[in-house]
Amino acid sequence: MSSSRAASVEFRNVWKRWGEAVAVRDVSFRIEAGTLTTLLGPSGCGKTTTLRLVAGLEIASAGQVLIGGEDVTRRGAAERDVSMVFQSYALFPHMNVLENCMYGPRAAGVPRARAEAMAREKLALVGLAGLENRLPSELSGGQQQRVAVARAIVLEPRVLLFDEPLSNLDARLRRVVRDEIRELQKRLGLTVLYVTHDQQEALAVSDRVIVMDRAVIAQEGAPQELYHRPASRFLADFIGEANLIDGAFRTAGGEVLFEREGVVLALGALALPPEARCLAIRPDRIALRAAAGGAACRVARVAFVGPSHEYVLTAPWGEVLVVRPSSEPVLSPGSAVELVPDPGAAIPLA
Amino acid sequence: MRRGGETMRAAAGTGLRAEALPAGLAALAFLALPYAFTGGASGLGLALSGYWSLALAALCLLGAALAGMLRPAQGPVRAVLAGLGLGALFAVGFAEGLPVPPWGLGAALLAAALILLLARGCAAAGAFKADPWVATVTVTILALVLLFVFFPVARVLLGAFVDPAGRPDFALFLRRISAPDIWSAGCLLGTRECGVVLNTIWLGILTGILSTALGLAFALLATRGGIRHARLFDALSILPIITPPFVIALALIILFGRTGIVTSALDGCFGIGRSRWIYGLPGVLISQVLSQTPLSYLILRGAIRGIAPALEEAAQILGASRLRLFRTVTWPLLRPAVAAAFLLAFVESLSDFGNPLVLGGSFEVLSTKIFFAVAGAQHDPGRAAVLALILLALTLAAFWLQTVWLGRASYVTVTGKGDAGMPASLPSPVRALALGAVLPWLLLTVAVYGIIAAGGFVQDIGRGDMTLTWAHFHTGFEIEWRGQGLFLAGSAWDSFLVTLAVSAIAAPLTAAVGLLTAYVLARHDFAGRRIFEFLTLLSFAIPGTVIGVAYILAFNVPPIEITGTGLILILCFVFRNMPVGVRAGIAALAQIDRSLDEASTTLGARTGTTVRRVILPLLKPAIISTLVYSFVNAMTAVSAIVFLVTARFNMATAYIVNRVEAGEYPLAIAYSTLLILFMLAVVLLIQRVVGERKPGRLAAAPAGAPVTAR
Ligand SMILES: Nc1ncnc2c1ncn2[C@@H]1O[C@H](COP(=O)(O)OP(=O)(O)OP(=O)(O)O)[C@@H](O)[C@H]1O
Ligand SMILES: [Mg+2]
Repeated sequence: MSSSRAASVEFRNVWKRWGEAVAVRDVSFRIEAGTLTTLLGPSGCGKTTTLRLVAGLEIASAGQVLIGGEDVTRRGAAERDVSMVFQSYALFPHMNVLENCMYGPRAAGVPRARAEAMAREKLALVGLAGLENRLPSELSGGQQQRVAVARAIVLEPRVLLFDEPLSNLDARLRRVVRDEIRELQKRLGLTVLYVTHDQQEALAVSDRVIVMDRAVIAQEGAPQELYHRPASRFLADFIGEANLIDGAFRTAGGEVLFEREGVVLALGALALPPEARCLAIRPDRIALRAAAGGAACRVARVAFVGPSHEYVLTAPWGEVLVVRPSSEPVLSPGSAVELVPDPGAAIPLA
Repeated sequence: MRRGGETMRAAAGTGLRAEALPAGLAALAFLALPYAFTGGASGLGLALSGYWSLALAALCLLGAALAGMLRPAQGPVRAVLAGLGLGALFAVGFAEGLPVPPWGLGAALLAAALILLLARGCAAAGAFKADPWVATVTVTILALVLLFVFFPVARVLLGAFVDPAGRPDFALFLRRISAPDIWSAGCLLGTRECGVVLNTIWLGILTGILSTALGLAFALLATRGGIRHARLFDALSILPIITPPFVIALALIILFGRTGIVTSALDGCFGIGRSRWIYGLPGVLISQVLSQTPLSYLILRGAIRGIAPALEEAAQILGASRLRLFRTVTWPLLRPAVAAAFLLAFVESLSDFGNPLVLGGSFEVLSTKIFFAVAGAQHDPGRAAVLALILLALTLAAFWLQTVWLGRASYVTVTGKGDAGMPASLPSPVRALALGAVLPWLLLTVAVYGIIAAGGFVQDIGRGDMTLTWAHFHTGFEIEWRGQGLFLAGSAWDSFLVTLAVSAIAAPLTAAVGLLTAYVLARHDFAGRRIFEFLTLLSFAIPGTVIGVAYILAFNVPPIEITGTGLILILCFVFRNMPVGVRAGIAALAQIDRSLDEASTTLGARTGTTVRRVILPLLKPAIISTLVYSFVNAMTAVSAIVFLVTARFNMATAYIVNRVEAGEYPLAIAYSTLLILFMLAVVLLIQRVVGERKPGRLAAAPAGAPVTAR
């Protein structure tokens, strides 16, 4: 079910500069109506700025911003019909929960009784019925967060924006609220743009993920796509952990082989890009086999973390991280091992 | 659906409504209201009788309004038309070589409409980030500040360079500024009296040193001296804020004048002859130090509290003796606050008018000399302008020194609260010294306020006649029952009611102008922001006497001819006290997260709605402190308004000063007592009405705000 109000968002070659500093550099993307897209990236890469450009809290230095196909580049935040849930929640401290949620409709000139009905409906939707008369200061962090969400959806905005909405919650609550936001988005068919720097959160909630790095888009795609086929070293390392090993690839009898300082790894069948020079492989996609004393790799350290053992190996070029289920027999430090990548699991990169 | 439609309709509607309001007002003003203050013809009538520039202004206005309604995108055209119209309006009379009509309601409405149209034109042209609300507020405040701060001050500066007929005369300026009674240093050589500049600076330095030293002694004792009732100091420190400045001088005369209580006692018991020593430098100095010490105390107490005890503990652990600790750790940390207190006292002394007027005798300072140059027999506005120029240069130099001095030393300013730990107690020699300075001073303060409290209720405290009586309150505030109703027969009622009305009108206006300015400055960035900020804070540095002269020179001729009205009193207070509101507002806004504004905006609220529903409610403490400050200031200020009062619009302080001049001390004291009590009551009431009570705000806000030169 897609809400009739949800609209697509499109950036066409958008720039945002402050004097010399460039926070967003020539960014283009398109977000389909009714989907949840996350903006992911390291601190300072321009996520918040991109979000604020959508909201109209910043005006693009160059390029076009379209919402629902309509050019809104020069329009202020009050005229864009876009709502935002702030990292700090930004609840009005002098208004109670109900008044906070009635603020949008009242500002748009909706009569009081109708505004109150709209507010109560959305408060019930986020599970806050009964707390209408509390002040924000009398709520827990999780409840405040829900009020912020309710306030933002009262007017059924064309686009709903979240800036790191979970960063002020404790780890356990994060997972719950994250799923609630996703649930709500699906139920109301909202277009949501969601900023986070937590890659797990991004993978868990999104239809699509846009990864930014230093003011540009590094890669965008579905979560699985980004995880399994990262386009660069930065992405391979940023989304999930990966071992990055420089070396030489060659093909032998339908199988790709990788070699570095005498260590040869058989990778199985792979599509090899023309200038592949780097092997990226997830720590849980390497099996370990006990080897003769002359093998090039040894176990340096091993840590038991519950579901798995985490091994740090020393290879001729440095360290390799390997994660194995704790059901497998454990290898002791000092033992010589051979690396056996899962066939097809390796990611060759330029 | 719902909201999209609403928003669009609202957007289409606002263009029309926003232009229609000023256009309608202007049409009404032009066609139906008398243009001039003195009544008479409407704008149309004047335009038809030869004032063609007025017709031009009206045409420009019409053009700007029509363009706003029909071609809203033509921002630059709209702005230029409105600006042209304003220019033409100011040129009315000058351009035609006809008598300039003084602005009345009609002209003021025309000007207001043009300013609104100018602001909206600027916004449409993309200035102020295309926000019409911000544009309207900024342009309006800017126009008012230019007219009521910048223009009069510029007028004073120019006034120094013209002869009585208004022709530029630089030679005359040189003669005026080099007059020996200004610069003479005769007293240093022991030959003659000193010039007024040397007197003023000398007095300022002495006041600065003494009040800072006493303030420091109080502050050290209160925080480190192990004194149990140190909170009493805090209570005492509020007194001068609500005491009209010259009242202390009056009490000193009653104590130490030729027939004063102490003088008589000394004469009677020890045969120490009566003399007039209190009139002149000693008296003025004592009264200034009495009123300034509490402010120094507040500044220094804050600084001492801010010193982290841990720092001193560290030094003590390192084995420093207490005296050495004080000299090497505590004192260097205090120095910037000491400098600030000194400069504040210096500037206050320079701009003080009431005390030198009452106690100065033949000891002249700049502020009184300015007053007599305008009000005295000589009536020489050009000379007053030169003196005002010098006084202004001195205060600006002090402010500049403050920036340089404190800016450089800012690394010592301790942020936040001092961390836990026991503050080092004072070394006993220092404590003894502090007590030695403070105790006589406390005695004097108690005596002074005792005189003020008692003086109104006895026959003639000045001559030692202590028979209890209500006579003075009767003279001043008698209420008679005559046939139809109550009749305010007392002689002080007129000035009291005018003071009340002026304060009550000026206080909310000051708060509004100051806080809106603060909001624009703190939350919006636009070309020319820094100049705007400078202009709005300018009046801080200008002594009241200079403002008084400036208003007289600027506003006793058309087109803005408001001397002698109540309006000029209100305007004077609003623009003098506005910087207090700006500072209070900026400080308060720094505590309000910007995301609240942004949340409101993304929920579809325009800037005006955001300010009204989110910002202002959260600014309540700043609103209260600005209201309190400007109300109290309007009731106690003397220096600027003695130039502006008339028999019809007299103010309480001016009335009291006149009573003192006439020797009617008991009535003056009775009136002052009443004023002080009234202010206390109103201040408490404001706190009650405007918001929940926050103890401490009252004391902290007006005192913490940099004090204007009265
Ligand atoms: N108002 C501003 N003026 C100048 N530079 C700015 C401004 N706002 C942001 N920047 C710069 O733009 C860059 C991107 O900032 P942005 O807030 O978008 O980062 P972010 O990806 O949200 O980071 P974080 O994860 O830390 O929130 C940063 O280098 C920042 O310093
Ligand atoms: Mg951010």
